[in-house]
Amino acid sequence: MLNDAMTIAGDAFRDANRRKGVVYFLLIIAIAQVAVFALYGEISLGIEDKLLKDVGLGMISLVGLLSALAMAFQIPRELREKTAMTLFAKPLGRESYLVGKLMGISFLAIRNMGIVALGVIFILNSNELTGDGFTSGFLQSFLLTVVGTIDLIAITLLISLYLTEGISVLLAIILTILGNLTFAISHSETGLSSVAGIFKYILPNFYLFDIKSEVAASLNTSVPYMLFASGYGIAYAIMLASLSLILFRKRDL
Amino acid sequence: MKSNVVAIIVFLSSLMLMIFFQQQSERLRMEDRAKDVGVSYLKRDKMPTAGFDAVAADLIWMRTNLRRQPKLRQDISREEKKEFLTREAKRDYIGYSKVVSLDPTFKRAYNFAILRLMSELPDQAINLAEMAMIYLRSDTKEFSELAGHIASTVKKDYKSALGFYENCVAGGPSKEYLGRRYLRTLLRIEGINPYEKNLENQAKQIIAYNLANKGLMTGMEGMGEFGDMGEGAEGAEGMDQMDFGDIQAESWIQPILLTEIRNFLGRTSLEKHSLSKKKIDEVKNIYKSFAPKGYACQRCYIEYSAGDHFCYQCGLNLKSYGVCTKDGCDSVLKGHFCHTCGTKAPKGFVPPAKVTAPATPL
Repeated sequence: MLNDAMTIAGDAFRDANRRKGVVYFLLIIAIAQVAVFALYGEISLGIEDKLLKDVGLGMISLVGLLSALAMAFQIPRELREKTAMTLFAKPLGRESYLVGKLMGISFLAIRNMGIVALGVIFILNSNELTGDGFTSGFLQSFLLTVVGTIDLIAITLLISLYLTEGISVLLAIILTILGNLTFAISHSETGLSSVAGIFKYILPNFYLFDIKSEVAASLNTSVPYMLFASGYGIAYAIMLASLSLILFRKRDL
Repeated sequence: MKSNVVAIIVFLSSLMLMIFFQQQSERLRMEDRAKDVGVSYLKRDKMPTAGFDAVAADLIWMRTNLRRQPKLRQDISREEKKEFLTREAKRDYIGYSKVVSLDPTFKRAYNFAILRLMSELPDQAINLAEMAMIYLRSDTKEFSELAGHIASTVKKDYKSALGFYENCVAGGPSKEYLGRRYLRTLLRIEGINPYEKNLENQAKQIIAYNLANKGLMTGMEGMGEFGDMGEGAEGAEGMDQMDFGDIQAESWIQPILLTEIRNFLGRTSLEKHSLSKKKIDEVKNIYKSFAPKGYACQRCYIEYSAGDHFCYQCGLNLKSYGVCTKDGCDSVLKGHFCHTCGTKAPKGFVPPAKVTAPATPL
């Protein structure tokens, strides 16, 4: 099963990679980062270091989000065009298909985010304006962003099994926004807190993976937190993948 | 069927793990933040930025700062001008509020906003300073100082200002000017203008009174005892009940008090003020306890150097020391013999320490 899943993963990775838009987008981001950095001194009004870290970590998240959305395009298209059926006709289980897709798009997202992260690290360490440069906090933020992106991919996997491309993308973005709000709303003193308190166990709690502001402000994040937050992300992804599998098995294609 | 059961077991176990990890993560994150910026950092109301809070804060900050403001026409009345400036400040305040709610640790934004808003919207500027004190704990002094300055100079709310200055000096030594501001604010609360010269005497007494009354000068360790500072300031009359018995502690306030009283004593004689002999003696006693241990002017207690014949502050004729005793020579002695006439130095004269020559020629 694992070999089958890896085959599907490789195929999903290549398929998403074949789309030149992603590569061009990464290139544009890399060039824009370097180009804009030259202007930071003028437009940032003395916060070059903070701005670079904020924008760099933001770009990594954005690339992760866009990479995750590749899932929303792949599965509905394959199901609509019946290309997935040819795979199921072979001795490939649906579980291999889903796990393979999840792994393939995750690899793609990690690769893309890694490229942007390397670019940011290069700029952070190549200029005296950027203060303390690359820090362990940056690495922590990157790792949590990766885990959060895998969760987003798992969500997109689940919704793209039943919805069309456009609606899947829209719903994935809405869930990303809501997932970032649940923590704050559930702890706020508004009337929504009790509702959000329930939803935070259903929706992904992306706020647990968002330590970008804390990193830019040089606030410390403990190792136990990193372990538990990563554990949460992995458990959430496995839960959604198994739920997708249970539902997908019952689906009449 | 069997594989479905496995999937369901995996689903349920990962669900339980997920709930456990989420609760633990939330707890740990709150503990982490409680150590530096406080839990309210996590609980603040958030805008739907999908995790791009910091980037959004940067963009709004730049937009607010780089916003092209409409030109102020010169032919308008003072009221219209004020209205215009307030309207523009309010517009900027909205921007800055968004910035610091998105990124509460954005120090530069607080600085810019407070300085921008302090004239037109002092209340909002103080609110921002208070927010900065919560989220930027290592910069509490800086923002307390700003808030105190706005409260005292713009709002004329001296009680609030005193509270902010207490924050400034709390927990250890502060810049001397902050201590002075603190004392001046204290006087303002007593209804005394510290810059008004005819009330100077009274002001100084109240400074001394308050300091002594609050135990600042006796064994003070830090400014932790400032909590009840507002009470007990009874004005000049309080001097009668004052007890300056044990004025000896080293503290940040000592040099300030010393300078304050020295300036006062130096500018004019105490006797010229309409004070009772007892009060004059009390003020003198305060000063004496801090006075230099070497040769000092008997009127203003300024320490003077060898060879000085008159006080450089009050002009009092001094008893000079460290000079050659031969008539007409008057050279300042450097050793056991006068370097001008060779006369032996008087008994008990201690020559100044020799200056060691540098190892290499300068």
